[in-house]
Amino acid sequence: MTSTPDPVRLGKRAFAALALLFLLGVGAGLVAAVRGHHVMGTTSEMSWGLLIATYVFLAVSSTGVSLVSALGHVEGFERFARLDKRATLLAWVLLALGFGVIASELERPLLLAKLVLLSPNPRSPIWWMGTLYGFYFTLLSAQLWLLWKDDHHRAERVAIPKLLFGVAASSNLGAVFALSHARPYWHGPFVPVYLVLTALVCGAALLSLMVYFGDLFTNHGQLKPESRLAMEGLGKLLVLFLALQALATAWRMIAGVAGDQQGLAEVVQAQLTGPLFFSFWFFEVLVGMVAPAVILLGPWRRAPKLLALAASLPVIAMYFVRYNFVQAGQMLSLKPTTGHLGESITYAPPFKGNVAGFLPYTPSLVEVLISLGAVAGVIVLFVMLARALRFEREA
Amino acid sequence: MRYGMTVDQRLCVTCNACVLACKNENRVPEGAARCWTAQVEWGVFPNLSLETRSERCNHCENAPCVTACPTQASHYEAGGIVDVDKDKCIGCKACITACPYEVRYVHPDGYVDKCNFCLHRVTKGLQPACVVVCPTDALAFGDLDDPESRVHQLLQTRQFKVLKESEDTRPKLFFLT
Repeated sequence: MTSTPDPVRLGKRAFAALALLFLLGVGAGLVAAVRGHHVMGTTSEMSWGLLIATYVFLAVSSTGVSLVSALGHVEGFERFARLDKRATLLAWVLLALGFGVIASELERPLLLAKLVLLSPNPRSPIWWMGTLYGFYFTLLSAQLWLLWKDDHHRAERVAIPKLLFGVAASSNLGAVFALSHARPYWHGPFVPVYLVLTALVCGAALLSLMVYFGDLFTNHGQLKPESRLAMEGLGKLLVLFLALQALATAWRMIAGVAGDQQGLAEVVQAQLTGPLFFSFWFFEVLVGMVAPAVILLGPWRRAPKLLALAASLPVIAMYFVRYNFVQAGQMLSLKPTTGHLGESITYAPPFKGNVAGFLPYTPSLVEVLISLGAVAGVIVLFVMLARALRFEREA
Repeated sequence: MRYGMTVDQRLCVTCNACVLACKNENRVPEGAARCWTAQVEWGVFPNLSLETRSERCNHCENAPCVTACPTQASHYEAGGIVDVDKDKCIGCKACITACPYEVRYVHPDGYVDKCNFCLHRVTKGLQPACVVVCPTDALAFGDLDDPESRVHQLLQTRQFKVLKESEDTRPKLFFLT
């Protein structure tokens, strides 16, 4: 005779493990704050790595959660309205930890807080991105406060400017990459739009997981009827967003190969058949798009466990999407040992970036711990704050 | 006034004296360089040709690093020299990803560093260290707008090229061919 595992007990164990991972991440962040780039796997040639990817993952997801949860105020989507409090908290936690990750990536984060006001460069996409995310975070915090006070009327008034700043911040985060003419894979109008599009994927998927696990651990493992309705609605939205993501990805690859643009074609090929092959085809395509779409469109699309699985897959995949994206933009050396016309170049002194093929990058242990710790921290802080603020009642 | 530099590829023998002088003058840490040499081989034996040159920051008039820097740490000094104010650098490395020439590195002290044409010497009326030590006189530095300057005259009389012209950065490091 087999006994069904108690979801609450399992949840407590998982929570303890995640809390430990979060603490390890905080510890690694402190190491990074003291030792700086000396403990990172990044180089002067591949200067942005896993932490930038994690920041993009968390910050863009925050906008996505805000955007999708806002649908609750649109006619026909009332089933999402009851997610308001927890969705706002989740968006807040995602962004707060995103800020934590980017602070550990920067050599002098406190100086940024000062100079963004005292020595601003309005031509810099990073300045705009930081400023817009600053406004978004402030409004998100205000909305969270008002929802905690059950002042829904004023919270709704904050919601619209918050969404505008959230979308502007996410697309400006895209502009940080898109305005870099030196990096053909990033350059152009595609990335700012793509980040907002994938924000919707993350938003729908994360909200679905929030509903599922919320009920699992607070309702004796049973999904409430209204939660089931919300999950089914989010599942339908997720299919639509995934279809758009697939379309964007397909055209990105087709344009990269067919366009034969120097510096772009090589990087696209690296994903299709080269060193990023597995990460692209397995995680980005199969886990991120095909598998969840099959579940959500199949006859089993009403099973809560499978709906939760379909929601978790794009989130896991998105972590790799961000990593691929950051790595792919920099993987072609700008000072290669073989030039575009076949000439052979020897540099003295030689640098790590003087390679014939793609630049290598392996994240350090500190980077991995900060990154995974931040992801674990999202769950840990969300659960703790939801309990402290009594947002669980909403569930 | 626009400061610029010419590198005569016919005279440069890639002896690396410029690299060493730069390292000493600017206390460049181990594993990094503000200036380096490149040997570019073209063709297939026996039809071979060789370009030799000393490279560094191009001090672009339309510098992507200056645009990308959120705190104005990367900025234009007098004469258009692109410099990094290490007290304003937060180490975001946006300038590194923006630069098409890959001329920057992260200093062990946590700021981004690169060639600034030895600004501390130029402001005293001296030439950059690399120019002073070049044994074949392959390097020339000066005001591109001054008809009396050697760089101006060389660019008037010799054919030259800049690196990655398609990037539209308007470099002020010219390679005499």
